[in-house]
Amino acid sequence: MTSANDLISIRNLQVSLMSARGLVHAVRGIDLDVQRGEIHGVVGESGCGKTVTAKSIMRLYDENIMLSGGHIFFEGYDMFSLSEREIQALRGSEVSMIFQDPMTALNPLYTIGYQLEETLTNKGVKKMEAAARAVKLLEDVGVNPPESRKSQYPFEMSGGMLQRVMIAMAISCNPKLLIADEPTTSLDVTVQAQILDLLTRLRDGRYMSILMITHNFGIVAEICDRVSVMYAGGIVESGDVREIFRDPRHPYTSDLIKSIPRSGTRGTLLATIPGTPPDLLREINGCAYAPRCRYASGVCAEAPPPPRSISESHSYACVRGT
Amino acid sequence: MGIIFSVKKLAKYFPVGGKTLKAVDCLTFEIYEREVYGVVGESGSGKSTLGRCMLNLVEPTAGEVIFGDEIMPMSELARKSPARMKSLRRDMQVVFQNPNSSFNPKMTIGRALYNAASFFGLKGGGRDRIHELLDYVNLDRSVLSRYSNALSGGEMQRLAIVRALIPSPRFVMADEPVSALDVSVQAQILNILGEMKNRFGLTMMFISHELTVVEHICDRIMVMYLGAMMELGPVEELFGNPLHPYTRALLDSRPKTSPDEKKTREMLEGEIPGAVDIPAGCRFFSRCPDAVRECGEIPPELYKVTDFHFVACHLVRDTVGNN
Ligand SMILES: Nc1ncnc2c1ncn2[C@@H]1O[C@H](COP(=O)(O)OP(=O)(O)OP(=O)(O)O)[C@@H](O)[C@H]1O
Ligand SMILES: Nc1ncnc2c1ncn2[C@@H]1O[C@H](COP(=O)(O)OP(=O)(O)OP(=O)(O)O)[C@@H](O)[C@H]1O
Ligand code: SF4
Ligand SMILES: [Mg+2]
Ligand SMILES: [Mg+2]
Repeated sequence: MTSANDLISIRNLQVSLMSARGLVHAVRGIDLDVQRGEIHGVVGESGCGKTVTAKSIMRLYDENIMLSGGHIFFEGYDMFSLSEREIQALRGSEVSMIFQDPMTALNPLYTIGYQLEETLTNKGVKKMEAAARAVKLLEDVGVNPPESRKSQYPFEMSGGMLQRVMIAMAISCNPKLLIADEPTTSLDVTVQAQILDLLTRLRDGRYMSILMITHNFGIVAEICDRVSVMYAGGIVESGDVREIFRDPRHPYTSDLIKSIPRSGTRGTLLATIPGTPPDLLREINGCAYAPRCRYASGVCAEAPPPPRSISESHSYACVRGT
Repeated sequence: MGIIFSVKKLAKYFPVGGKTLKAVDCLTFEIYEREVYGVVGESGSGKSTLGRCMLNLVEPTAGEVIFGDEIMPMSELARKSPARMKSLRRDMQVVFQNPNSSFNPKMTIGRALYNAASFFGLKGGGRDRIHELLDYVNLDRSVLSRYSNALSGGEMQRLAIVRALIPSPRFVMADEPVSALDVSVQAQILNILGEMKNRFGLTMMFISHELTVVEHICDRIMVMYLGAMMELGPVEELFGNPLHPYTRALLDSRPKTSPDEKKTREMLEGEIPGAVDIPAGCRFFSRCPDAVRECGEIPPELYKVTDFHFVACHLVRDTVGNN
């Protein structure tokens, strides 16, 4: 059931990875829809499968990754039926991705202008036009003055500027979906605020969708329209950001929100979550959160809780009723 | 309130490519006994360098640090006295962001902790103390036979706290102790750090770039920018009545805590410049939204707003007057 307003629909995606310890079931049957023009957050703690999910959309697989099931529909087309060549054509022009550390994605030996122009010419843009468009793109993302910045090498730029350059490259071919994997995690708060503002403006101006991957609920509150909360390879709650902040239904979501320090928590003990996330090498039969959940009862560990909807725009997976 | 640390005109410069990088530049402040003193600022503002100077780990370029009876940099004589060096190490302990790098991966956790205990000559090899501390941080004794690579970031950070507490220090410095941790784990560590002060009668300095964390745990906060103090005050005052444009900008750039929060944000432009070629006037001049002409020429003094609230900004002088 995908709707016309969905740019991308992920259905029952399952991804496993071969690690030194054995097969890691990193993504365990998730459903996720990103609508046109929305900023959709994917939030969760380290190792819950956010990056693996994002890479699956781009089909950026390492050799050790095995897709074990599910579908990803992009504008209705099943991406898993596309050839590597067709996927290649999609990357950059329809879907593109930025990462936490822009340095690793840029070549230290070439100027940023050269790399930006190359991205464009690779997509068939003429050389002359690419040069002009590169300048315009740098200007759009706030790398000023673009003409002189073009001839700089990555090491000559600050972390914030490099992330802007990455964004310029990612949007150079007007993708419909931008996947941003922790794009501000290594930046100072003042620069983070600038980048979040830039992303919001790009979405507004280009009617682009953004899949915003983060471990920071503050970023979700700040710029996301909808959010999916991930835990141990699954999505436990999903929907409108306001609804979820006001009325989190899954115990993991509410436990996580309560553990964040904020004004007013001074001098108090923060709520904590006992235990640790499950070992992803193992089969999980029931709710993955059950061993840590204060509401868990016998049934929780037996079968996966069915998704419940409490409104058009808010659903969660927990046996506890509404 | 007794003073445990007195930092006087402290400076630490590094030579880089024929120029001078002023990581810490003429800082003066005091830390009172039994308080949690917070230091915040963007990356490169000199927080860790300040911390290392205070812990006697690096030699300052100028100025001094007085800790109890010791004055640092220490005299040749003091440095040659093993007893004095040992007592300094006992009294000042540290917890870093990345505990794994400070535990030897080839040694069991137990070995590492017992080594620390025997260095400080604890009774019975420190067994009781170590057990008591493991209970305190809520870790099972079975960790003693494990190696650091088999433990999670949160477990390692608890062990770093245990190791720091073994000699019953008077002072603990925590440099970004929760920055690398997940939210739910961060909460556990913050709870432990928050209780430590009362439980063990300690004084702490807490270095972080995260304002919410600092607000949660600290009593007083110093805001640093390019090696210098911009504002200093009790938490309530600094968050309730921030007076320095940089403090305000830091507070404004925090992401919302809820989507319903209304925010009038004044976004700061640019990024923190390198600490070489520090401008003549106010260090914040190049990014300051409120700057006036004299800001680029004359460095502001530290103005006293109340007995405990200090601000280094020309605009504040006009409101509080010269005193
Ligand atoms: N290349 C790989 N080989 C083996 N295991 C991997 C690989 N990449 C990820 N994993 C495992 O898959 C799981 C999900 O990893 P993923 O990187 O998607 O998490 P994440 O949510 O992005 O975490 P983080 O917040 O730390 O970036 C983890 O248990 C991780 O250890
Ligand atoms: N050993 C060194 N040699 C040269 N420069 C140094 C050295 N140590 C620190 N610096 C420089 O001093 C300045 C302050 O660094 P410091 O690590 O104290 O900042 P910080 O506030 O702790 O930053 P962060 O938040 O990134 O930890 C930086 O410009 C840094 O590059
Ligand atoms: S002294 Fe001037 S430049 Fe510095 S913070 Fe105050 S107003 Fe801004
Ligand atoms: Mg990741
Ligand atoms: Mg530091």
